[in-house]
Amino acid sequence: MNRRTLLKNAFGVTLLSLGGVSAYQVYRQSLNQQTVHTEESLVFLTNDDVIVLQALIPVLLATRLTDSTISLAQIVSNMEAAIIRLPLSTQAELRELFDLLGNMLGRLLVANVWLNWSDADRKSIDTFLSDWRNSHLDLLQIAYKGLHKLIIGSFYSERGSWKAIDYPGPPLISLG
Amino acid sequence: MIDLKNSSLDYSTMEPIDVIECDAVIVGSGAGGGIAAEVLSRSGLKVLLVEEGPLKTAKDFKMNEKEAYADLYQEVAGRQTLDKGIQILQGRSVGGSTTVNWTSSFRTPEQTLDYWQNQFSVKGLSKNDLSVWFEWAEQRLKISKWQVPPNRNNQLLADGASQLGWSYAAIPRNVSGCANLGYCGMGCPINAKQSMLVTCIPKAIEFGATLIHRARAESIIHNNGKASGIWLSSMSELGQIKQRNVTKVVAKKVILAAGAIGSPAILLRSAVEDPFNNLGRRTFLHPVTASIAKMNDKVDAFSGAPQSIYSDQFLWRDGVAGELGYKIEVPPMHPVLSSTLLLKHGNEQHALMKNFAYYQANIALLRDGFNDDSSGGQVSLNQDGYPQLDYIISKTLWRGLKHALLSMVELQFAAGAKQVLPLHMDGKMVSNWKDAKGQILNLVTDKLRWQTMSAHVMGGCGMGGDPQTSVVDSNGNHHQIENLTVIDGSLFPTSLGVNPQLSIYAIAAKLASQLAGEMNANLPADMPSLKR
Repeated sequence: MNRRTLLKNAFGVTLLSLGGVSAYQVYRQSLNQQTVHTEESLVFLTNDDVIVLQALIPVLLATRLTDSTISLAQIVSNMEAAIIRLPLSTQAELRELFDLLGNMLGRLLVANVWLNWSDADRKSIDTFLSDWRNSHLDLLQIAYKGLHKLIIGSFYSERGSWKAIDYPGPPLISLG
Repeated sequence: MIDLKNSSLDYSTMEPIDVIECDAVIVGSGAGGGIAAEVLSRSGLKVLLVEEGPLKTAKDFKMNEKEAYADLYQEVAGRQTLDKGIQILQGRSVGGSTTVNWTSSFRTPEQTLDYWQNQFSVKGLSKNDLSVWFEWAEQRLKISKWQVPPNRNNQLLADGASQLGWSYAAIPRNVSGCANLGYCGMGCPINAKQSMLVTCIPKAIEFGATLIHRARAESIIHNNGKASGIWLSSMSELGQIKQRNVTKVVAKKVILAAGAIGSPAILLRSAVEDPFNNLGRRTFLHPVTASIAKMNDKVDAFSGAPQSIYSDQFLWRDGVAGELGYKIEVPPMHPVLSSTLLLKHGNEQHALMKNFAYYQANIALLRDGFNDDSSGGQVSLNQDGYPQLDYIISKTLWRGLKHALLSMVELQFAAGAKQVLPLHMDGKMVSNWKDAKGQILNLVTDKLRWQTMSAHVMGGCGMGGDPQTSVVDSNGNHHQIENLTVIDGSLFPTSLGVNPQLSIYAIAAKLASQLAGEMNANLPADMPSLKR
C-alpha cells in the first residue's frame, strides 16, 4: 500500500477531494488577498503549497512571527532552499505531503476560513496539527515532524528571531 | 598553507575530464580519506582524492546554522534512518565530518579492540599494536587534553557527576589556537580545529595529490576479481547528480573512505561479490538520547568549546557484552538545532524557546553492536541508487536508552536543574528527580516518539579474519576483490564507545602505511615503522 492510499483510507476520500479544483484556484477566486511573494521564483513549492503554508506557519509559530521582523516570504524561501538540497526520494515524499495538505486544508478554504480569518480558524489548524502530532499513524507523525522541522528551522535560522530567545548570534571575530 | 580553492577541481562548474590515471584513488575526504591521502602522497604515490560535497574553507564559515547545514551536512543536517526513527548528523564537504565535528578525540577503548580480536579475529589492531599510531595521529593533529575551563554547559555535567560521585574527565581535542567560540559544528572560522581540511588534505596536495570536489564515485570498475578504477559522476551546486559516469578513473588501488553509509553504497552500486551477505550490514550509530535541563541562571550553551567534559560512569555498566553501556557528553545548543528538537508548536513551543539561553543539555551515546540483540542496521540502495539505512531499535537498545535517560536526568537535578525535559514526544518538564523518574519509566519505547539521534555512523564494511562474517580483512583489503581497500569508519565490526575520529585517524594511518608498503612506496620518516 502506498502512502497516499493509506492516507485516503484513514481520512475518507471525500475529505481529500476538492472536485478537481486546486486550493490556489479557489483562493484566487475568493478575494483580492495577497499571496506570499518570495524573492526568487520557487521550484519545488507550488502556489498551492504557499497558500497552505500561509495558514500553517502563523499557527506553528504563534505570536513569534508577528513579533519579529521575519516575513512569511523569508520562511517560505528558506524552506524551498532546504528542500531542493534534499535527496530526490525525500523531495518526492514532501511532494506527497504538500499535496495532501493542499487537499485537506483546501476543504477549510472552501469553508471560507481564509476569507474571515479568526481565532477559531487558527484554533482549528492548531488542533489539526496536534492531531497529526499525536496520531496513531506513523505517517502523520512523520508529516508533523517534517513540517515542524522545515518551518521552525526556517524561522530560527533568521537573525530576526534571535533576540527574543537571548541568543546574541555568532561572536565577532577579528582576523589578523 | 596551500590555497585549496586554487589547487583543486570543482566538478559542479568545470567541464569533466574523460580519463584520469593515478596510483591510488581515494573516495571521500573525511577522517579516513584525509589521512590516507597524506600518507600515500607523501610516500611518493600519485593520489586522486574525490569528494561528493563542496569545498568550503574558513572564509566561508560564518558561524550561521542556515548556511552551515545546507553546505556542510548530508541532507541539510536532516539525514534519517529509513523509518525516520533516528536523525543522523553527518558531514558532507571537503574534510567530511571532521570539518563539522565537535573536536572530541578519544583513543579506541581497549575493551572494544579486544572484542574485535576475540569475536571477529581482527589482527594487528590491539592496544599495543595501535599505540604508536595513536601517538602519531595525536601529534599530527595536535590532540591534547583541553586546558581551558569548560563552558557552563559542560561544567554542569562535571558538577552533577561530582555531586553523585560519578566519574568524569576533560576531553582531549584536536585544536591549535582555539578561541573557545563554540561553533565547531559550523566549520571553524579561524582554522583552529585540526580537521582534515586544514591538515592532511593540504599536505597531500602539497605532495602532488589532486582533489576533485562535487564529484561522486558512482561505481568501482572491476573485472575477474580485480578492481582497476572507478566511475565519477558530477554533482550540482545543490548536491544533486548533474551527469552520471562522466570520468573514468584508472587506478592501481581503489580506496573507499566515503563513510559508513557511503562506502557500502558504492560497493552495492558496483555489484561487488558478497557471498556471505555481509555488505552494508552491522551498521552502527551510537544511538543518542537527550535531556534538557532548565537552570536558574543562563547557560548560553552555544558559547565555548562544545564538548570538553565526559562521563564514562556507565560505559561498561554490565561488562563488554552485557546490557549496552553509554558515554555521557553534552551537545552545543544553537537556535535551529534546538528549536527543531522541541517538537511542539504554537504557544507551547514558543514558551519552551523563551528559555533557550537557560538550557543545559546532556546526551548519552549508546555503545551498540556488542550484544546479540544489538546487531545494527543495514544500508541498501533506493531506486535512485541513493543509500538508505534501515536501523531497528532492539529491545536491548531500548533498555539502554531508558537507562541512559534516567542517568542524565538524575545528573541534571544533582547539578541544580530547576526543571528537566526528557527529549521524547510525550516528555514533560518536571521539577524533581522523583517525578522525572516516574515519567521516564513510563515513556513509550516507540521509534518516532522517542527522539533518537546519531552523529557517529560506523560499520557496514566490517573487518575481520573470517570472510563469512566480514567484508574486508584486518588490513582493510576486500575479501573478494583485489586492489580494493576500505579505510574509514565503515571498517569497525562494532561501534566504539567513544567519538570516532581518533580511532579512524590512527587505524587509517596504519592501513594506509601498510598499503604504501605493499606498493613499494617510500614511507615518510615520521611515520611509525611497519612490523609485519
